[in-house]
Amino acid sequence: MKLKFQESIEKIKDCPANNELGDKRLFRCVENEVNEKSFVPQAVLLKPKYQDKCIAWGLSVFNSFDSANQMLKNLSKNKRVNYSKIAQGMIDDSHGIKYGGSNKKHYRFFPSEEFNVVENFEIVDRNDKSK
Amino acid sequence: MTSPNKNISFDLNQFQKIEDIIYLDEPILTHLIKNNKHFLLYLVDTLDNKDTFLLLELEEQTIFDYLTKLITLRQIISSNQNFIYRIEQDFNGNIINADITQNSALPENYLPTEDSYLNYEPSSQSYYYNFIEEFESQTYLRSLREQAFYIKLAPTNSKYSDTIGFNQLVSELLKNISSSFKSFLKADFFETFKEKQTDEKKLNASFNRLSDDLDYRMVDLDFGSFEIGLAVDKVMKQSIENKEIRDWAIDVGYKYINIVLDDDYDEETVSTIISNYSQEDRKKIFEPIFKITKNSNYDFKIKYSKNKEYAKINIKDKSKIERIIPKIEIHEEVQSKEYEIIQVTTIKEKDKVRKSIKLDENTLFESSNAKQVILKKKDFAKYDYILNFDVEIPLDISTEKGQIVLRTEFEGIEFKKTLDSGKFDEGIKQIISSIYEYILSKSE
Repeated sequence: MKLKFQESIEKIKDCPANNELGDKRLFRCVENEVNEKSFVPQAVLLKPKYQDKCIAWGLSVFNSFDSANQMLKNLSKNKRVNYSKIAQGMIDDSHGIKYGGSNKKHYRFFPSEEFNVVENFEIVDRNDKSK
Repeated sequence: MTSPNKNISFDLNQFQKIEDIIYLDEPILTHLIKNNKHFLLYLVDTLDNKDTFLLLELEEQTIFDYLTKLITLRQIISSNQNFIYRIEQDFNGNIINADITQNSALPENYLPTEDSYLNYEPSSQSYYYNFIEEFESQTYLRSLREQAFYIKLAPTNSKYSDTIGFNQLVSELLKNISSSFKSFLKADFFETFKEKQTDEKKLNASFNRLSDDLDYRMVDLDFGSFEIGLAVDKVMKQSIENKEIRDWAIDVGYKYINIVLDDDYDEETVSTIISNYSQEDRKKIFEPIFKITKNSNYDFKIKYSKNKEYAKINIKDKSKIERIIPKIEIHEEVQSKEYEIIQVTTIKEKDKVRKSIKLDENTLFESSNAKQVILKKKDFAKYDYILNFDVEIPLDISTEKGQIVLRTEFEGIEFKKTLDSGKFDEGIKQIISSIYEYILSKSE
């Protein structure tokens, strides 16, 4: 499976480091709406200091609405400006590679080149989290 | 990553990275260590060409407290008494500026929300895994302790210093409190749900199913004068499916503290007690407690959390006790019993003159050789003698020269049977038969 940013990712040894198989509902903090831009690893593209870090090429996603929301509350007011909404999507093995980190609530998601974020993610609020 | 042009030469490479605690496409909050000192590096702003971080030194325990939701990230930063380094780093990783500030000078824009708790769930490779596993195993007891109330029983006499007698503690003081609490639970349950469930048997069954979950948990103990910390267990009560009953089950533990273990029994409390509980229930609930408070050998004290001062449970106005506990007698329902004759073999010393033997209390004669039982309609029905009215006929049973004598009077007529002791059932049947024949003949 070819991943988005495959060329940069394959330069890093053993990247992605893992792959957890199976369907999983995951939550992503986005600025305002679901679009391609909100599913681009902006930090690594903007900041060369992260380019040789494997996980920087993956997208930060969370295993629940509450985990994502809790993370937002821990951002400084300035950093929170870029994240006002939470989107959810059901990710299967054809959508890309995903695996959990040191904090089991945080996942890295490396979308496949074909993955269409607009079709697969939607904005949710607290009341929709059980969808 | 060193600072090329400012007064402060700062090299983050000198720090060992423990773990990224918050990661959102890039490290937001990172735990660092240097010379056995712990630091948090917190990304607070990103402008056109630089990131701004705060670097603060803190105790490792503070990080653990944060990871287990005991404190917020905002509290960590706001309460940090060390100097805080504000570091600017360009996107290539070079430190371009660093200065020293302190918590009171930090702008609001650098701070997370008031509600910045973090529930960290470490995987097995996490640095925090062992700590959080151990912490969670102790969380249950800790959470109970945090909301426990304490009672203290202290002797007023200094003869044994402030120690309390074991037997008196267990068989009198604690027994009374336990008895009062159990009575309260039942009375309050019935009072709360009697309108919703009118079938008393079902109500009783519901209560019996709940009883284990209703108990206070003992979470602290001290000796000398006896102190015990008790807590309402909210966690385990979550298994009670019916929400209304679950809410009651959680509330009733606190209700007992407020109503029964009240330190002054003011007029409002007394009125609540009298209007909410029947006279009989009040006697069962409060009498055991008042027995302790009236005992001048002991002080019975309560405090509503570990850090508060004890207050003596004291009812100065004795008329309140009389209003709460009315002078009534609780009549136990006399249940009819079934008896059978058994033969007893015993041994006595030849030369001793012994006129009695001791029998188990559940046998017919106990320590006497005479007994009265009541014959009822159902006793007649047992032998297929059907009566269409209720009867209660006292039947005297006694022994005489190794024989059993059954004697009664019904409507002035005497009925008497004398049989071998092995034929008790036969005797009962005969005397019931005779009475039944009398009743039939009378009705003809």
